[in-house]
Amino acid sequence: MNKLLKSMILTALLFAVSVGAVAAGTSPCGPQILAKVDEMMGAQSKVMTQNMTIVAANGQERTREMQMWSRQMQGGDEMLAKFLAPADVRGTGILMKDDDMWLYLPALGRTRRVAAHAKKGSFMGSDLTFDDMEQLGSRGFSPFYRSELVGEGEVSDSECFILELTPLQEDNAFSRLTMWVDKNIFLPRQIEYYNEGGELQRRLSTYNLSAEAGRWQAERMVMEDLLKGSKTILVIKEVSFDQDLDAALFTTRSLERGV
Amino acid sequence: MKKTIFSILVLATLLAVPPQTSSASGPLLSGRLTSELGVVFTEPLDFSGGQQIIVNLDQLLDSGAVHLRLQGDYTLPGGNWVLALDEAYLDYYAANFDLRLGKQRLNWGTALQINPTDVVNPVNIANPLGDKRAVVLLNLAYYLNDNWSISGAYAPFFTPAIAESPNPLIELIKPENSFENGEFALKLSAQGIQGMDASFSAYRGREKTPTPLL
Repeated sequence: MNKLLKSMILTALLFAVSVGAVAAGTSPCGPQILAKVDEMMGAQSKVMTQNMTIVAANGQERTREMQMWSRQMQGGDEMLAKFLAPADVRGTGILMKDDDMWLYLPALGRTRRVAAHAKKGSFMGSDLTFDDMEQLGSRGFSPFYRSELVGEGEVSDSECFILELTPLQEDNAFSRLTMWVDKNIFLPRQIEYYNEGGELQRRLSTYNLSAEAGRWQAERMVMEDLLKGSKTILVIKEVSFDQDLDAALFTTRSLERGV
Repeated sequence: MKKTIFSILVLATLLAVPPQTSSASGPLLSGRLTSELGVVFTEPLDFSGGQQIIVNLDQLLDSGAVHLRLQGDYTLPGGNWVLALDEAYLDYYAANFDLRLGKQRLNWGTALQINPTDVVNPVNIANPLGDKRAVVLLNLAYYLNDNWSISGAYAPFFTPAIAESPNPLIELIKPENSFENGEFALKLSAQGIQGMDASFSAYRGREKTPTPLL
């Protein structure tokens, strides 16, 4: 049985237990809360159009519009992202299939494999990593972190559980995360990322929470790099869940086609 | 004599109409205007450089696409604008294969500069590190599954690395255009096999850089 299947079963079990715990009015434990977060944020498939604004430390702004398709598969998650605007990045695409990743640059007309360790690097010059796009997109945090409930607090007028996440694998880009999870809708309101030196390096904040087809989502997310002074703002323009996405969409052939 | 040359990139900007988000939208116009000025500090000052404009027009169709790329070059001092249709091709997307017909660049290999398998388009001798010269091709890619594909290309007309002989005393001999003299290329590609990509290619064609006959 592969790792993903195991983690899916574990997530389902934890979710079932957490629903029971919440229904009974008892305080759920860390893994249960994280399983609910993954359940709320994840989807069998997702199609999303969003704007990404990168604000450099000197205040210079660049806004990019992109469309993303993702789906959960037994062999691993698949994600295709294509930039729609501005014109100098239009057509640039990224395909991720489990641990494989390819980048297509239309100016070069070539699809290039990207090394697996690059997933810890910046996603298209932003303050997010490829791993972030996966975790926040569809795959969730449970496959990558063990969690512990360390307290309760308030963020943006929301009562939150506070989780401490420590990576399951040694090669994680961060030594630990602190996550504030809304008690009512189980969405992260804030995540703090600590680097290997123990410094607080990044902070993710979520805003404009809304329900779409019974699923809560943050329409606006801000990732700040507190050491560099830059930040990246993601604003969802359109989103739809659980569509039947063709397998052919998640191929390098699809990556190379125009948008 | 000591000479210092400064090349100043005066302007490099992108021109584009606001892009549409729908894949079935109207044509996309984009491009680039580059102006370069070089100064040789002699007495009197010697100026060189030029402008280049590239305009791309892309239109997605229901099962294909059309692409046009126009290039204009102006060289100082006292040059004229030279306009050319740099690329013009039509794509057809079928269930298992893609067909591209027209003047195009066939980008085989994944590296940026040194690509031993990228042999179909000739290097532009005037700018060896820039884009290769586009040639008229029929390019077919057949997808066996999500991981394996076979690509074949046929170039009916020979295109050398230089358009004209640099010396009027040296004649540039080109092969006669015929089906037999056409160039063929074939590639078998695998992607995402045990974390690796690989390809095998074969090519029947001619050396693109002219060789002196002794």
